[in-house]
Amino acid sequence: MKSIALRINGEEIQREIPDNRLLLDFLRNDLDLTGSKEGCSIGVCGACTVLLDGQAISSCLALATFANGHDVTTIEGLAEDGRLHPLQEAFIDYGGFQCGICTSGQIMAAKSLLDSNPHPSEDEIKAWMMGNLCRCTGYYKIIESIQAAAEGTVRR
Amino acid sequence: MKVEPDQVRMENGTFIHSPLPQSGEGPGVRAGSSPLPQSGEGPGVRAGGSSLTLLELMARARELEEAPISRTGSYAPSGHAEVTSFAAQIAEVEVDPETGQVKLRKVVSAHDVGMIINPLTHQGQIEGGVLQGIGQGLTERLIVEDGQVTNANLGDYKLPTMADIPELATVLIETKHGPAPYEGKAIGELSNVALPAAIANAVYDAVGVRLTELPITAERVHAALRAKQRNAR
Repeated sequence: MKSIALRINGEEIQREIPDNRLLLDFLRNDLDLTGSKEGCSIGVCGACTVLLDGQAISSCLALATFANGHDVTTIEGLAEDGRLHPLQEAFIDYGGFQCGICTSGQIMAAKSLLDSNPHPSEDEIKAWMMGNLCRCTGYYKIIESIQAAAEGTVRR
Repeated sequence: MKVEPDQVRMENGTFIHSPLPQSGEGPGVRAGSSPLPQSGEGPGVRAGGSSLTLLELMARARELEEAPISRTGSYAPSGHAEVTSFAAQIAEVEVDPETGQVKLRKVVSAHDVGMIINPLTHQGQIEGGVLQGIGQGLTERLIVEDGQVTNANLGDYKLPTMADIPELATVLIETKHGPAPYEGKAIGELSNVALPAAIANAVYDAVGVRLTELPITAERVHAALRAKQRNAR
Protein backbone atom coordinates (compact mmCIF):
# COMPACT_ATOMS: atom_id res chain seq x y z
CA MET A 1 0.00 0.00 0.00
CA LYS A 2 1.06 3.51 -0.66
CA SER A 3 -0.28 6.85 0.48
CA ILE A 4 -0.83 9.40 -2.27
CA ALA A 5 -1.95 13.02 -2.21
CA LEU A 6 -3.00 14.76 -5.38
CA ARG A 7 -5.48 17.27 -6.75
CA ILE A 8 -8.27 15.88 -8.89
CA ASN A 9 -10.43 18.47 -10.63
CA GLY A 10 -9.16 21.02 -8.11
CA GLU A 11 -10.01 18.94 -5.08
CA GLU A 12 -7.31 17.70 -2.69
CA ILE A 13 -7.49 13.93 -2.45
CA GLN A 14 -5.55 11.64 -0.12
CA ARG A 15 -5.80 7.86 -0.30
CA GLU A 16 -4.08 4.64 0.65
CA ILE A 17 -3.82 2.53 -2.48
CA PRO A 18 -2.06 -0.62 -3.64
CA ASP A 19 1.18 0.20 -5.47
CA ASN A 20 -0.09 -1.33 -8.68
CA ARG A 21 -3.42 0.55 -8.85
CA LEU A 22 -3.81 2.08 -12.30
CA LEU A 23 -4.77 5.74 -12.45
CA LEU A 24 -7.87 4.82 -14.49
CA ASP A 25 -9.01 2.27 -11.90
CA PHE A 26 -8.26 4.72 -9.10
CA LEU A 27 -10.48 7.33 -10.77
CA ARG A 28 -13.28 4.99 -11.69
CA ASN A 29 -13.40 2.50 -8.84
CA ASP A 30 -11.99 4.36 -5.85
CA LEU A 31 -13.33 7.84 -6.60
CA ASP A 32 -16.42 6.95 -8.66
CA LEU A 33 -15.29 9.28 -11.44
CA THR A 34 -16.61 7.02 -14.18
CA GLY A 35 -16.49 9.59 -16.98
CA SER A 36 -13.09 8.30 -18.10
CA LYS A 37 -13.64 5.05 -19.99
CA GLU A 38 -11.61 1.92 -20.42
CA GLY A 39 -11.48 0.98 -24.09
CA CYS A 40 -8.46 -1.04 -25.17
CA SER A 41 -6.48 -1.08 -21.89
CA ILE A 42 -3.20 -0.78 -23.80
CA GLY A 43 -2.98 2.93 -24.60
CA VAL A 44 -4.17 2.72 -28.20
CA CYS A 45 -7.74 3.98 -28.21
CA GLY A 46 -7.63 7.14 -26.10
CA ALA A 47 -10.94 6.57 -24.29
CA CYS A 48 -9.22 6.90 -20.90
CA THR A 49 -7.51 10.22 -21.70
CA VAL A 50 -7.14 12.55 -18.71
CA LEU A 51 -4.92 15.55 -18.13
CA LEU A 52 -1.91 15.30 -15.82
CA ASP A 53 -0.67 18.83 -15.14
CA GLY A 54 -2.46 19.84 -18.33
CA GLN A 55 -0.88 17.09 -20.48
CA ALA A 56 -3.10 14.47 -22.09
CA ILE A 57 -2.16 10.98 -20.92
CA SER A 58 -3.67 7.51 -21.15
CA SER A 59 -4.80 6.80 -17.60
CA CYS A 60 -4.92 3.07 -18.38
CA LEU A 61 -1.13 3.09 -18.72
CA ALA A 62 -0.30 5.25 -15.70
CA LEU A 63 -0.03 4.04 -12.14
CA ALA A 64 -2.00 6.15 -9.70
CA THR A 65 1.20 6.69 -7.71
CA PHE A 66 2.62 8.35 -10.82
CA ALA A 67 0.08 11.16 -10.24
CA ASN A 68 1.16 11.63 -6.62
CA GLY A 69 1.58 15.35 -5.97
CA HIS A 70 0.18 16.33 -9.36
CA ASP A 71 -2.96 17.88 -10.82
CA VAL A 72 -5.34 15.53 -12.61
CA THR A 73 -8.26 16.81 -14.66
CA THR A 74 -11.00 14.46 -15.83
CA ILE A 75 -14.12 15.08 -17.87
CA GLU A 76 -15.99 15.65 -14.59
CA GLY A 77 -13.79 18.68 -13.93
CA LEU A 78 -14.57 20.65 -17.09
CA ALA A 79 -17.94 22.17 -16.26
CA GLU A 80 -17.79 25.35 -14.20
CA ASP A 81 -20.58 26.89 -12.15
CA GLY A 82 -23.10 24.48 -13.61
CA ARG A 83 -22.14 25.41 -17.17
CA LEU A 84 -20.61 22.93 -19.55
CA HIS A 85 -17.20 23.62 -21.04
CA PRO A 86 -17.40 25.11 -24.58
CA LEU A 87 -15.97 21.85 -25.94
CA GLN A 88 -18.75 19.89 -24.27
CA GLU A 89 -21.34 22.31 -25.66
CA ALA A 90 -19.79 22.04 -29.11
CA PHE A 91 -19.81 18.23 -29.08
CA ILE A 92 -23.53 18.36 -28.28
CA ASP A 93 -24.38 21.02 -30.85
CA TYR A 94 -22.30 19.59 -33.68
CA GLY A 95 -23.00 15.91 -33.12
CA GLY A 96 -19.44 15.13 -32.02
CA PHE A 97 -20.55 11.86 -30.44
CA GLN A 98 -22.93 9.00 -31.09
CA CYS A 99 -22.48 6.02 -28.77
CA GLY A 100 -20.34 8.14 -26.43
CA ILE A 101 -17.71 5.69 -25.20
CA CYS A 102 -14.82 7.64 -26.76
CA THR A 103 -16.28 11.07 -26.03
CA SER A 104 -14.75 11.98 -22.69
CA GLY A 105 -11.35 10.98 -24.05
CA GLN A 106 -11.93 12.95 -27.24
CA ILE A 107 -12.92 16.05 -25.27
CA MET A 108 -9.96 15.79 -22.89
CA ALA A 109 -7.53 15.35 -25.80
CA ALA A 110 -9.17 18.29 -27.58
CA LYS A 111 -8.87 20.40 -24.43
CA SER A 112 -5.16 19.75 -24.20
CA LEU A 113 -4.90 20.72 -27.88
CA LEU A 114 -6.80 24.00 -27.50
CA ASP A 115 -4.93 24.86 -24.30
CA SER A 116 -1.63 24.68 -26.17
CA ASN A 117 -2.89 25.80 -29.59
CA PRO A 118 -6.13 27.80 -29.34
CA HIS A 119 -6.68 28.04 -33.10
CA PRO A 120 -5.47 24.82 -34.70
CA SER A 121 -5.75 24.15 -38.42
CA GLU A 122 -7.72 21.10 -39.57
CA ASP A 123 -4.47 19.23 -40.18
CA GLU A 124 -3.22 20.11 -36.70
CA ILE A 125 -6.48 18.81 -35.21
CA LYS A 126 -6.14 15.55 -37.16
CA ALA A 127 -2.50 15.08 -36.18
CA TRP A 128 -3.25 15.74 -32.50
CA MET A 129 -6.44 13.69 -32.29
CA MET A 130 -5.34 10.59 -34.19
CA GLY A 131 -4.62 8.87 -30.88
CA ASN A 132 -8.31 8.94 -30.00
CA LEU A 133 -10.23 6.27 -31.88
CA CYS A 134 -13.93 6.46 -32.67
CA ARG A 135 -15.96 3.65 -34.15
CA CYS A 136 -19.18 5.42 -35.00
CA THR A 137 -19.00 9.14 -35.79
CA GLY A 138 -16.57 8.98 -38.68
CA TYR A 139 -14.60 11.82 -37.00
CA TYR A 140 -15.99 14.56 -39.26
CA LYS A 141 -18.28 15.96 -36.59
CA ILE A 142 -15.58 15.70 -33.93
CA ILE A 143 -13.42 17.98 -36.07
CA GLU A 144 -16.35 20.37 -36.54
CA SER A 145 -16.99 20.36 -32.80
CA ILE A 146 -13.38 21.21 -31.98
CA GLN A 147 -13.32 23.94 -34.63
CA ALA A 148 -16.56 25.39 -33.26
CA ALA A 149 -15.19 25.43 -29.73
CA ALA A 150 -11.95 27.04 -30.95
CA GLU A 151 -13.77 29.68 -32.94
CA GLY A 152 -16.28 30.37 -30.17
CA THR A 153 -19.17 29.62 -32.51
CA VAL A 154 -20.97 27.21 -30.24
CA ARG A 155 -24.60 27.67 -31.16
CA ARG A 156 -26.40 27.67 -27.85
CA MET B 1 -46.71 -21.81 -17.81
CA LYS B 2 -50.20 -21.71 -19.34
CA VAL B 3 -49.31 -18.67 -21.37
CA GLU B 4 -50.38 -18.18 -24.94
CA PRO B 5 -47.40 -17.65 -27.26
CA ASP B 6 -48.83 -14.42 -28.62
CA GLN B 7 -48.84 -12.97 -25.12
CA VAL B 8 -45.08 -13.33 -24.79
CA ARG B 9 -42.69 -10.79 -26.17
CA MET B 10 -39.03 -10.13 -25.78
CA GLU B 11 -37.75 -6.90 -24.36
CA ASN B 12 -34.14 -6.08 -23.48
CA GLY B 13 -33.22 -9.72 -23.67
CA THR B 14 -35.97 -10.86 -21.32
CA PHE B 15 -39.21 -12.66 -22.09
CA ILE B 16 -42.16 -10.70 -20.83
CA HIS B 17 -45.67 -12.02 -20.45
CA SER B 18 -47.97 -9.23 -21.38
CA PRO B 19 -50.15 -8.75 -24.39
CA LEU B 20 -49.47 -5.58 -26.33
CA PRO B 21 -52.07 -2.99 -25.37
CA GLN B 22 -55.01 -2.81 -27.71
CA SER B 23 -55.88 0.66 -28.89
CA GLY B 24 -58.07 2.50 -26.41
CA GLU B 25 -57.20 0.08 -23.64
CA GLY B 26 -54.96 0.52 -20.64
CA PRO B 27 -52.36 3.15 -19.93
CA GLY B 28 -50.23 2.56 -23.04
CA VAL B 29 -49.13 5.67 -24.85
CA ARG B 30 -48.34 5.48 -28.51
CA ALA B 31 -46.04 7.98 -30.11
CA GLY B 32 -45.93 8.12 -33.84
CA SER B 33 -48.26 5.18 -34.23
CA SER B 34 -50.35 4.57 -37.28
CA PRO B 35 -52.35 6.33 -38.60
CA LEU B 36 -49.96 9.22 -39.08
CA PRO B 37 -51.00 12.45 -37.42
CA GLN B 38 -52.84 14.92 -39.58
CA SER B 39 -50.60 17.54 -41.16
CA GLY B 40 -50.20 20.57 -38.93
CA GLU B 41 -50.63 18.56 -35.75
CA GLY B 42 -47.04 17.35 -35.55
CA PRO B 43 -46.09 14.18 -33.72
CA GLY B 44 -48.89 13.16 -31.41
CA VAL B 45 -49.49 11.00 -28.39
CA ARG B 46 -52.71 9.23 -27.57
CA ALA B 47 -53.57 7.82 -24.16
CA GLY B 48 -56.89 6.31 -23.40
CA GLY B 49 -59.50 8.57 -24.98
CA SER B 50 -57.57 11.85 -25.07
CA SER B 51 -54.71 13.02 -27.24
CA LEU B 52 -51.91 15.54 -26.93
CA THR B 53 -49.28 16.72 -29.34
CA LEU B 54 -45.75 15.92 -28.25
CA LEU B 55 -45.15 19.62 -27.57
CA GLU B 56 -48.21 19.76 -25.29
CA LEU B 57 -47.08 16.61 -23.54
CA MET B 58 -43.59 18.02 -22.93
CA ALA B 59 -45.04 21.28 -21.60
CA ARG B 60 -47.38 19.35 -19.32
CA ALA B 61 -44.54 17.17 -18.04
CA ARG B 62 -42.49 20.24 -17.25
CA GLU B 63 -45.40 21.77 -15.32
CA LEU B 64 -45.75 18.59 -13.32
CA GLU B 65 -42.00 18.28 -12.92
CA GLU B 66 -42.33 14.69 -13.97
CA ALA B 67 -39.90 14.80 -16.85
CA PRO B 68 -38.21 12.86 -18.26
CA ILE B 69 -41.16 10.95 -19.62
CA SER B 70 -40.67 7.47 -20.87
CA ARG B 71 -43.22 5.34 -22.66
CA THR B 72 -43.21 2.48 -25.06
CA GLY B 73 -44.64 2.95 -28.52
CA SER B 74 -45.24 0.61 -31.38
CA TYR B 75 -45.50 1.06 -35.08
CA ALA B 76 -46.39 -1.38 -37.79
CA PRO B 77 -45.49 -0.44 -41.35
CA SER B 78 -48.71 -0.33 -43.31
CA GLY B 79 -47.25 -1.73 -46.51
CA HIS B 80 -44.06 -2.43 -48.37
CA ALA B 81 -42.25 0.49 -49.87
CA GLU B 82 -40.79 -0.34 -53.28
CA VAL B 83 -37.33 0.78 -52.17
CA THR B 84 -36.62 1.05 -48.47
CA SER B 85 -33.07 2.34 -48.71
CA PHE B 86 -30.66 2.93 -51.52
CA ALA B 87 -27.17 4.36 -51.73
CA ALA B 88 -24.59 4.95 -54.45
CA GLN B 89 -20.96 5.64 -53.58
CA ILE B 90 -17.89 6.86 -55.43
CA ALA B 91 -14.30 6.58 -54.23
CA GLU B 92 -11.36 8.53 -55.59
CA VAL B 93 -7.97 6.97 -54.85
CA GLU B 94 -4.32 7.60 -55.48
CA VAL B 95 -2.17 4.47 -55.80
CA ASP B 96 1.61 4.44 -55.55
CA PRO B 97 2.70 1.98 -58.29
CA GLU B 98 6.00 1.34 -56.49
CA THR B 99 4.69 0.44 -53.06
CA GLY B 100 1.03 -0.36 -53.69
CA GLN B 101 0.00 2.19 -51.07
CA VAL B 102 -3.58 3.35 -51.58
CA LYS B 103 -4.57 6.83 -50.50
CA LEU B 104 -8.28 7.51 -50.40
CA ARG B 105 -8.68 11.09 -51.53
CA LYS B 106 -12.41 11.59 -51.73
CA VAL B 107 -15.69 9.78 -51.12
CA VAL B 108 -19.08 10.74 -52.51
CA SER B 109 -21.96 9.08 -50.73
CA ALA B 110 -25.41 9.57 -52.28
CA HIS B 111 -28.52 8.42 -50.48
CA ASP B 112 -32.14 7.93 -51.35
CA VAL B 113 -33.65 9.00 -48.07
CA GLY B 114 -37.09 9.27 -46.59
CA MET B 115 -38.25 12.03 -44.30
CA ILE B 116 -35.17 13.09 -42.32
CA ILE B 117 -36.30 13.42 -38.71
CA ASN B 118 -33.00 14.52 -37.12
CA PRO B 119 -30.64 15.98 -39.73
CA LEU B 120 -27.62 16.11 -37.40
CA THR B 121 -27.72 12.47 -36.34
CA HIS B 122 -28.82 11.40 -39.83
CA GLN B 123 -25.63 12.90 -41.24
CA GLY B 124 -23.71 11.37 -38.33
CA GLN B 125 -24.94 7.91 -39.30
CA ILE B 126 -23.77 8.44 -42.88
CA GLU B 127 -20.35 9.70 -41.83
CA GLY B 128 -19.86 6.92 -39.32
CA GLY B 129 -20.85 4.33 -41.92
CA VAL B 130 -18.47 5.82 -44.46
CA LEU B 131 -15.62 5.45 -41.99
CA GLN B 132 -16.56 1.83 -41.33
CA GLY B 133 -16.56 1.25 -45.07
CA ILE B 134 -13.09 2.82 -45.27
CA GLY B 135 -11.85 0.58 -42.49
CA GLN B 136 -13.32 -2.52 -44.09
CA GLY B 137 -11.96 -1.52 -47.46
CA LEU B 138 -8.44 -0.49 -46.51
CA THR B 139 -7.23 -1.36 -43.04
CA GLU B 140 -9.38 -3.59 -40.85
CA ARG B 141 -8.54 -7.26 -40.92
CA LEU B 142 -9.55 -9.82 -38.35
CA ILE B 143 -6.95 -12.57 -38.48
CA VAL B 144 -8.23 -15.97 -37.39
CA GLU B 145 -5.85 -18.91 -37.07
CA ASP B 146 -7.19 -22.32 -36.01
CA GLY B 147 -10.31 -20.66 -34.66
CA GLN B 148 -8.36 -18.13 -32.62
CA VAL B 149 -8.43 -14.41 -33.32
CA THR B 150 -4.75 -13.50 -33.33
CA ASN B 151 -5.01 -9.74 -33.61
CA ALA B 152 -7.00 -9.39 -30.45
CA ASN B 153 -6.29 -5.75 -29.66
CA LEU B 154 -6.68 -2.36 -31.27
CA GLY B 155 -2.95 -2.13 -31.83
CA ASP B 156 -3.06 -4.99 -34.31
CA TYR B 157 -6.56 -4.45 -35.67
CA LYS B 158 -6.21 -1.19 -37.51
CA LEU B 159 -9.17 1.13 -37.08
CA PRO B 160 -8.93 4.24 -39.23
CA THR B 161 -7.97 7.32 -37.22
CA MET B 162 -8.92 10.93 -37.70
CA ALA B 163 -5.81 11.30 -39.86
CA ASP B 164 -7.16 8.70 -42.31
CA ILE B 165 -10.41 10.36 -43.33
CA PRO B 166 -10.86 11.60 -46.89
CA GLU B 167 -12.81 14.55 -48.17
CA LEU B 168 -16.45 13.52 -48.01
CA ALA B 169 -19.35 14.82 -50.08
CA THR B 170 -22.82 13.67 -49.15
CA VAL B 171 -25.77 13.82 -51.53
CA LEU B 172 -29.25 13.42 -50.07
CA ILE B 173 -32.17 12.75 -52.37
CA GLU B 174 -35.37 12.93 -50.36
CA THR B 175 -37.92 10.70 -52.04
CA LYS B 176 -39.94 10.10 -48.85
CA HIS B 177 -42.51 7.28 -48.94
CA GLY B 178 -40.39 5.26 -46.55
CA PRO B 179 -41.93 2.47 -44.49
CA ALA B 180 -40.99 3.98 -41.11
CA PRO B 181 -43.04 6.56 -39.18
CA TYR B 182 -43.31 9.93 -40.98
CA GLU B 183 -42.27 8.25 -44.22
CA GLY B 184 -38.76 7.69 -42.90
CA LYS B 185 -36.25 5.24 -44.30
CA ALA B 186 -33.33 3.47 -42.67
CA ILE B 187 -29.96 5.23 -42.88
CA GLY B 188 -27.72 3.57 -40.27
CA GLU B 189 -24.93 1.47 -41.73
CA LEU B 190 -26.19 1.94 -45.26
CA SER B 191 -23.15 3.98 -46.08
CA ASN B 192 -20.69 1.20 -45.23
CA VAL B 193 -22.04 -1.34 -47.72
CA ALA B 194 -20.86 -0.23 -51.14
CA LEU B 195 -17.72 1.65 -50.18
CA PRO B 196 -15.19 -1.23 -50.07
CA ALA B 197 -16.32 -2.23 -53.58
CA ALA B 198 -16.11 1.38 -54.74
CA ILE B 199 -12.54 1.57 -53.40
CA ALA B 200 -11.65 -1.71 -55.16
CA ASN B 201 -13.08 -0.38 -58.42
CA ALA B 202 -11.16 2.86 -58.04
CA VAL B 203 -7.91 0.94 -57.49
CA TYR B 204 -8.64 -1.09 -60.64
CA ASP B 205 -9.32 2.11 -62.55
CA ALA B 206 -6.07 3.64 -61.29
CA VAL B 207 -3.55 0.82 -61.78
CA GLY B 208 -5.43 -1.96 -63.55
CA VAL B 209 -5.34 -4.63 -60.87
CA ARG B 210 -8.45 -6.32 -59.55
CA LEU B 211 -8.35 -6.85 -55.78
CA THR B 212 -10.92 -9.39 -54.67
CA GLU B 213 -9.95 -9.60 -51.02
CA LEU B 214 -10.41 -7.04 -48.27
CA PRO B 215 -8.80 -5.03 -46.86
CA ILE B 216 -6.96 -3.59 -49.84
CA THR B 217 -3.55 -3.24 -48.23
CA ALA B 218 -0.37 -1.91 -49.84
CA GLU B 219 1.05 -5.43 -49.63
CA ARG B 220 -1.81 -6.92 -51.63
CA VAL B 221 -1.82 -4.16 -54.24
CA HIS B 222 1.95 -4.47 -54.57
CA ALA B 223 1.70 -8.24 -55.05
CA ALA B 224 -1.04 -7.80 -57.65
CA LEU B 225 1.00 -5.20 -59.53
CA ARG B 226 4.07 -7.48 -59.59
CA ALA B 227 1.93 -10.41 -60.79
CA LYS B 228 0.54 -8.23 -63.55
CA GLN B 229 4.07 -7.19 -64.61
CA ARG B 230 5.23 -10.84 -64.67
CA ASN B 231 2.26 -11.84 -66.80
CA ALA B 232 2.95 -9.00 -69.24
CA ARG B 233 6.49 -10.23 -69.95
